[in-house]
Amino acid sequence: MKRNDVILLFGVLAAALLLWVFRPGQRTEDGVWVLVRIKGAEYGRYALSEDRTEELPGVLGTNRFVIKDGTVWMEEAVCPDKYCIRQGVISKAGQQIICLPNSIIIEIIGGEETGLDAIVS
Amino acid sequence: MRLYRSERTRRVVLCGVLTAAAMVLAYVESLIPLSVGVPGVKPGLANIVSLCALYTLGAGTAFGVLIARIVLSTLTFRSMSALLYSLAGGILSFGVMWLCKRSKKFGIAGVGIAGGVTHNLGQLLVASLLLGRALTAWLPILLLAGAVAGTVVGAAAAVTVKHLKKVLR
Repeated sequence: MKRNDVILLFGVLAAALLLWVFRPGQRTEDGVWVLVRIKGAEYGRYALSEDRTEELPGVLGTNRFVIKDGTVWMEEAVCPDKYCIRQGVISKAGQQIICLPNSIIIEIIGGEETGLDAIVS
Repeated sequence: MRLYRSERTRRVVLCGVLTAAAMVLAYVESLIPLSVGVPGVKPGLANIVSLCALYTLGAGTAFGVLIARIVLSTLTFRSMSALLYSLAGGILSFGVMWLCKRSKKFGIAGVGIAGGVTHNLGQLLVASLLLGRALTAWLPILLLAGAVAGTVVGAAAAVTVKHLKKVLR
């Protein structure tokens, strides 16, 4: 490897590490709302403090996600690879669960990022 | 043994062999289960072929091999919807690898790293555009994966290119 190759490698690794350390999920602020987007448009907004199970009509079919005890996870998905389920449980503001084939994004947002009047359930 | 005397013939044969090799690598890769929870985290073994083509056949021909192998292997082993992602990642990473090679500042490993990282960035960009939202959560993992995979791919390509150059001469 040339010297520049090594610099490039460590540059990218450093960038990845920085982005990881300062990733949104690390914010101390607790999430308040669970925002669901389907095909880029807002589909629903749910309180993180309220336990519930919702069906989400995606592009391919219906996924099901759960809010329980301030945590969120995808419970069932119609897509073949189930990446969204394997992304596990999220609970902090800024964290996302993404289902590409079904075009669904579930993300947790903090209190001040949203107008309080925009509650949809 | 110099059965194929004309250089033109040898180049055409090498194009075919490289495209076939890329399809085999893509197939082998599809058999390896990687359970990271993020799509796009994969070794990218087929990029060995792009690097080899770039260093032995030149940019124009290498680009042709790239498009051929992406279309063939995506439609064979994956799905139509994966084609857009593969093309975006493939074309972006090829352009960056070509520029890195032309700059003569990097070795083949560095070009591989640049390719691996930009491939993942391209796919993330397409996913973000399709979903209408920046998918920032996956960025660090995809950067890391691209750099690691690129290093391995670059090292493998360096060895292969050394031997391929003998064939073309």
